[in-house]
Amino acid sequence: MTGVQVARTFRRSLAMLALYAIFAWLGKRRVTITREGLAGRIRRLREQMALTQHQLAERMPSLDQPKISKIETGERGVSSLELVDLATALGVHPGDLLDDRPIGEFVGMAARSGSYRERTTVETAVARTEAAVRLHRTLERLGHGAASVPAVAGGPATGGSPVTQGKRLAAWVRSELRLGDDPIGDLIGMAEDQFGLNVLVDYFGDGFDGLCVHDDGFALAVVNSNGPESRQRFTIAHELCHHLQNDLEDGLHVDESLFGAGGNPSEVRANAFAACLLMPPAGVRGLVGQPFRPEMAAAVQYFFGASLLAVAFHLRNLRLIDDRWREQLRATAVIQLAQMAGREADYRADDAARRRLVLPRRLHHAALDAFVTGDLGVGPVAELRGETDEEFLAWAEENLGVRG
Amino acid sequence: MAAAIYLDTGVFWSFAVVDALGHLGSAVGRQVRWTEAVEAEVKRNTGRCFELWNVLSAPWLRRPIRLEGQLAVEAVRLRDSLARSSDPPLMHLGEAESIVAATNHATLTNEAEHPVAVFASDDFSARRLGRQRGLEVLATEDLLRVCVEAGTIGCDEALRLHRRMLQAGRSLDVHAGVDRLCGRSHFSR
Repeated sequence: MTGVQVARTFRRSLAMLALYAIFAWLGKRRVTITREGLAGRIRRLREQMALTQHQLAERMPSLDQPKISKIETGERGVSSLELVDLATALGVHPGDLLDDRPIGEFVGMAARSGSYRERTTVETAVARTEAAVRLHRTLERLGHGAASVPAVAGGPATGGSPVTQGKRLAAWVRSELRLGDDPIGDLIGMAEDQFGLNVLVDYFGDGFDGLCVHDDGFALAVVNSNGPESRQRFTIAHELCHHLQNDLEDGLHVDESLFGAGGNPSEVRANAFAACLLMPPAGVRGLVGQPFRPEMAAAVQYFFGASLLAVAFHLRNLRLIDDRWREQLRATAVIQLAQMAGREADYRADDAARRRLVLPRRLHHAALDAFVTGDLGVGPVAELRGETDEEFLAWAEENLGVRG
Repeated sequence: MAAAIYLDTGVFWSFAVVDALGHLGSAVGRQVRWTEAVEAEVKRNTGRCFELWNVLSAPWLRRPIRLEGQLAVEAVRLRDSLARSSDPPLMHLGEAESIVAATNHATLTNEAEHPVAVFASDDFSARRLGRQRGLEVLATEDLLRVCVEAGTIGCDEALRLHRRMLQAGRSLDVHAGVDRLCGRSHFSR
């Protein structure tokens, strides 16, 4: 390593440390809510639901209208039981009455307000996201935080067309990490360790590819494992672009279909980024000669761990194939091409990742740490791991030595 | 010096389901405390366990403790450490309130007679959270032993009650035997 490279690495490490510190502080900065603050939130939520105090009281077993009136003016305190009753009547999570930035308002809102083809699928993914964000906030409060590195707002991806921006950002990432034209083996590890993007891969059914969420000091990509690993990798890279560019509306961005978003600039940029990050143009050119043969697409696909669909578009964008070849590749069954190219084992390995669960490492470790110390109960950890309490306890007894 | 004992719903349930609330009351009734959320949970579950009505009418039981202000906020926050995001909103609030109340017992109640408090629960997570917050934590088995020590029941009766609690589906220590239920308790009443 040259002196210049050492200096650059050192500068980058310092910058990352500083950003960690800032975001860790941001995660902990929530102040204790005052009676007046709580009163204001309750009133605001009631008014948002267009409820009178009488109507709210009718929804609650523990409070009548005069008491609600006093609570809203700050004259009367609220018990924990009443807090939960109020939250239930107002249709929010109890914690959302206490937070500066209620999770339900920016995460849950997306599920409610979007016009999704497969609403149930998106809602399930959003609920999973909400649980993870909520767990992160709980861990922060308990001193077991998993603060992330923030997005690189702006960064090198300014100016030019969205495709150019995406390409430039991918080249910057590859250069920063000195990846050359090599394939990225552990993409999730790279996203988590180098860019602070927690990655959760889980099966949600069809109609949803992925999402990215930012909450104070915490970034998470949730990716659907309804497709093979290569498709999941493209989605992870796509969400990494949203993270790096911080192009999330109100902290959340949902992708139903990566290739169905039309000409939306941030989607075009994220797709260009994902393609160039996973399949560096120089590396691809080294595998694709002329005249083009479909086996070359398979070589790119399995060398770089990219889906056939992504390869087809990428080769066309790099002008290595024409439109006819692109459409022909799109119409080709992946298994058929794998057989033709003698890559059946690679195909099977790629396909085996369907329905897999990959937990966000930093968040998972923080949760386990809090569980071992006794700060966190079984439920929240088991929920993150997609297990029943009994399943998690059996695992914890064997692996953590915590006896139920 | 006798400690106040904050009982979680599950412990009430275990004693109620075998009609042993009277024994509990005779042994430690003056020390038992409960919170509003525990009372609400007991009420909610009377449909599932009719005998829980006996908790609500127990003459030795004081008024439930109400947590307000920052203690209420602390209880709701603590509930997040116990509950899944998808759990019903009131689930685990009783345990959370009891831990917060027991932890803040001295300032909350200003009781000279019982200046310190312990927490009694059969919930694995709640017990660990209680301990982590510096509380002594009891289980139903410990309270049966206290009843034996107090002379309100004999050892055979404690073993029989424990067996019946298990048969009624209570999540207790299935290995608890004479030593656990009848041995000398380190818990000073």
